[in-house]
Amino acid sequence: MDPLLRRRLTLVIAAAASATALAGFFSGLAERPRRARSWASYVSRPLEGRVPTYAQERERRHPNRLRHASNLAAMTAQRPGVLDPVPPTDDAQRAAALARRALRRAYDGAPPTVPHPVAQGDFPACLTCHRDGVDVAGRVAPAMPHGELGSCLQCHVVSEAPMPGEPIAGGPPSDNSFSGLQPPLRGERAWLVAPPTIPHATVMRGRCESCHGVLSQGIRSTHPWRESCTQCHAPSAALDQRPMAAVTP
Amino acid sequence: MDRREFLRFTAMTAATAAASRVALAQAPGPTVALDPALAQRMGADVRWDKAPCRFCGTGCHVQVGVRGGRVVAIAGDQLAPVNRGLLCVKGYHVGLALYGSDRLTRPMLKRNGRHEPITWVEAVDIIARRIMARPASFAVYGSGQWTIPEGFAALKLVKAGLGTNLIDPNARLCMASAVTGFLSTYGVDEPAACFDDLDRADAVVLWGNNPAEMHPVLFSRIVDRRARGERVDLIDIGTRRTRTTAFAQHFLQFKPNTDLAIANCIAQQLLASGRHDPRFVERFCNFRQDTAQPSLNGAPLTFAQYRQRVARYTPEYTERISGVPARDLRMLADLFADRSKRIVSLWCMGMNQHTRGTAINRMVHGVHLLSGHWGRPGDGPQSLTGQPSACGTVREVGTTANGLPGGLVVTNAEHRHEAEELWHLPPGRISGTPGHHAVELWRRFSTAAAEGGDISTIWVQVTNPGQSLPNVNKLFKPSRALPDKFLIVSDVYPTATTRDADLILPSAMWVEKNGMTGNSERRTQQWFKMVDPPGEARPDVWQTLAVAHRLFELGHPGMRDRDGRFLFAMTRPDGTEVPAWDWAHFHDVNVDEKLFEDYRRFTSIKHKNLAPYGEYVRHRGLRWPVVQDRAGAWRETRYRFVEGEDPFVAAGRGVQFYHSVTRDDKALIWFHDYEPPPESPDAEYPFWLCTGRVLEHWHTGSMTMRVPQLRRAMPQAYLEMNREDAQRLRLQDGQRVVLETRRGAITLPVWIEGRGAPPPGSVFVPFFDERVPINELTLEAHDPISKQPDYKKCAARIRPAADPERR
Repeated sequence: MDPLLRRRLTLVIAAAASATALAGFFSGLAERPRRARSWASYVSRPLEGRVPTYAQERERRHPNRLRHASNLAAMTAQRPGVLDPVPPTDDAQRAAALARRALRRAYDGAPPTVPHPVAQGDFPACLTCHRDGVDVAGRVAPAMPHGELGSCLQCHVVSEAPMPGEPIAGGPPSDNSFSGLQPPLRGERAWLVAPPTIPHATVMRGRCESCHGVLSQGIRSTHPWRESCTQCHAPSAALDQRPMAAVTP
Repeated sequence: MDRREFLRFTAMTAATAAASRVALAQAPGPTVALDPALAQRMGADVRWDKAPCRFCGTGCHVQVGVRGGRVVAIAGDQLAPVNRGLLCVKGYHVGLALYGSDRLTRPMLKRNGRHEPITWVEAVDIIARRIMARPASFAVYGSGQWTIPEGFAALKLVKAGLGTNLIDPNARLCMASAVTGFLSTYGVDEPAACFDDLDRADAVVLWGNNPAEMHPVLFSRIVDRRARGERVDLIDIGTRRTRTTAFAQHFLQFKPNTDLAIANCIAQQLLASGRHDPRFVERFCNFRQDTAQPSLNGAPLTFAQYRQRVARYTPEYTERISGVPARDLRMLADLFADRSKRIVSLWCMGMNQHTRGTAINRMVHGVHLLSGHWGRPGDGPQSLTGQPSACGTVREVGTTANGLPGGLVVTNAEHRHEAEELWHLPPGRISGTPGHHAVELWRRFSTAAAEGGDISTIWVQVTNPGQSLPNVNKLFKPSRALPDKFLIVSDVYPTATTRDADLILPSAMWVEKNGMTGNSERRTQQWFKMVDPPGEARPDVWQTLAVAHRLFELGHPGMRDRDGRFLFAMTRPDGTEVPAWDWAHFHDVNVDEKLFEDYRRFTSIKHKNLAPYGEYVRHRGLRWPVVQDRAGAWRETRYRFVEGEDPFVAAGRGVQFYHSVTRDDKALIWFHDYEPPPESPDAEYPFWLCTGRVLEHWHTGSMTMRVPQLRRAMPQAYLEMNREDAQRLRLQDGQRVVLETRRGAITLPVWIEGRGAPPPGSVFVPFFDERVPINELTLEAHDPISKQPDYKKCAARIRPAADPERR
């Protein structure tokens, strides 16, 4: 072949390949908005004009109670990646998230109560959702923040009575004037953009992604891809509940 | 920080504090170099200190966070060997138990059917004058929730002061059979093993036990090993399916009371195939059987006779009695026959609240002794307790009708003499006649004086007999209508007992006072007062001291020792006397320490040695016997009677039961036949009724029902029922039914296979709910030796409740 023609052909092929790669690169960079699927897409669609299914009837009666008859694999696939952009949160969202958190805890550090029904007498399948965390129709089942402990219901009781029938009237008054430790707003910063210190105890809360990971709302980390949190965020000795450590053999 | 920023912080803090009702009048944190506003928001100004949990006998340590004079947070204590930082839901919410809206804050006397406030001086005087008038008809009914110093003070008042033995605790209803089981097997009370076993066992056998709900932290200590890749088998021998069953590899469902046959069946199989441990049995065991009249020490039996007696209990024969398939009984015996496995037996109320409670306790010890599964870490019987100081106070201080501190008994003249010497009492002060056990005490209180009811005044401390006694319609309620039956109750909340009390004394609870308790593994624990009690509430120990001193003032001769000194005289380091009975001076001295050191002198007599008070301040509990080593350090004991562990075992002995009943350093293996229970279902009352607890509530619920998180999770009692029975009776889930026994009837809702699942023909009702007084139905029949009643089985019938709307 004519060396000139060969050189031109090579150039054209190289240019075409570069253009394809470049286009692919940029189109890959372009963020496509992730469409959150509502819970309704996981269950069968209601059939117009027919007798409602048991599932629909249950939904009608307990609109706030989430369904669990869903496809876990599909829900897990919806989990944002650690490299997905993090929507910015403002102080109001943060305060709302903390208030929501406090609702299920007697004090900051108390085991949260369970906002959904659980198997009362059986071995509960908590870890299905709470091992890594999953978004269930906009509500987050957080990953457990502590190491694997087997008897979940020992600490986490339901927030709503599970038994059927009418409540029994009377009994001891249930109001209580206990006023628990409130969650901290934010950690201490040495200067404006210094990494904040960890403003809470880390006992039983060592897995930061549980509350600050990609699924969390309001108190989500801006950089969830970083794994070694305490490299920059120092825990506070003042919050360590071991004042007598030194004298105990 | 500039002025503007400071103002902003201050405003934010104030708003937060107002919103969360956090008191601002607090001391700043000790060494915190944080900005104060930020520090407060972060909780860095919360002061943390250790205390054992207020609830069960596990004895977890919690860290209590206090700010502004109030408890604001709880954390599991990571340095505590029992719980290692973990708690259960009750433990995490224990701080809330202080702040129910209806705490008792003033002494109240019933006048014309109403409780009217009176002063402490009046209240103390009323009690003292009632005692002065008739000391022989005054009794104290105490509790396994008494702290060690509280129980010791009450015992000293009654036994060394009044010269009677009219004191018994609610623990009689709780672990008396475990005590008689230990006494008649080893000659001395309390487990030889400890919780360390739970980390080593290959198999855990649960005898009528539901630790997933009742001892959750210990249960986690077992099952969390699985998360670490270890294998531990759970064998649940029970009468109903529970949360524990869900974790178990094997579930052996037996008919009530037939656990006696199951234990015999294990022994039968081991002996029939020669798979028992002949070396262990020969060196360390003797055999026993009951006498015609059951007694603590029974009658001797030879090994050959024992073998012959158990021979009847083949797996097939036992299957017919117990309903447990012979295959499963063989599995159980094979397990005990395997010396390479380490086996722990756990039990609590299932074996103790049993009309043959002493027998089944002895037999489970026997199975372990016979098979040689005894004395190695992870290998041995371990009895659990339900109250924080059933062991520490009731069993060790000896607050029972026949006890004296340190395992001594009033029926032994030497022991009485020893106690009189230690207390410097005139000879003969301590009576050799035992008082009445709990059931008998309340029967006499609920019987008219003319008909032999010779108890006229009972002072109840730290318990709620109006709800927890069996057959309350017979043992408790009649007293409230009889003349001259005066009921004094020290408590923190209104209960079924205070409601009908003649005199109510408001008490301080948990970290509102100093305290010491002892858990199920012989671990003695200590804590300091952290917050003030509400209103005029005062510690029970002060109440006892105040009454004792009022008696002293009124001239009661028993309140003086040989030299005329007050029984509870306490001195400062410089030798001057502290009037600790005077509330203004109660905190001038550590009353707990003074009483504990008085008590501690008794503990070396029966090798239950305790360390000085200061050691317990430094530790998260120490397991007795605690003895000093050559270097002067105080060392606890993990395994009693085992060489190298127990300092009192002679070198070369291996295992030495040095309190042996037979005085030859051997333990006893008992034989008992299976016997049917005192009441079984029949045509008229076709259901078995079992009672018990649930995870969220502790005993009669007087504390936990006032904790919103616990109340919401478990708001009311229920009738747990099998689905088949519900279908047969045409009952719907949640429907109200009348549950009736020969002793009473109550109305409550059905929960079909709710928390647990009983087999057909059997129902379960928890006893925490004062609106559903299930103990109006239970049986007061009790074990002949331990006198512990059986709450676990009686006959009942069920019918739908009449619908009030249709009437």
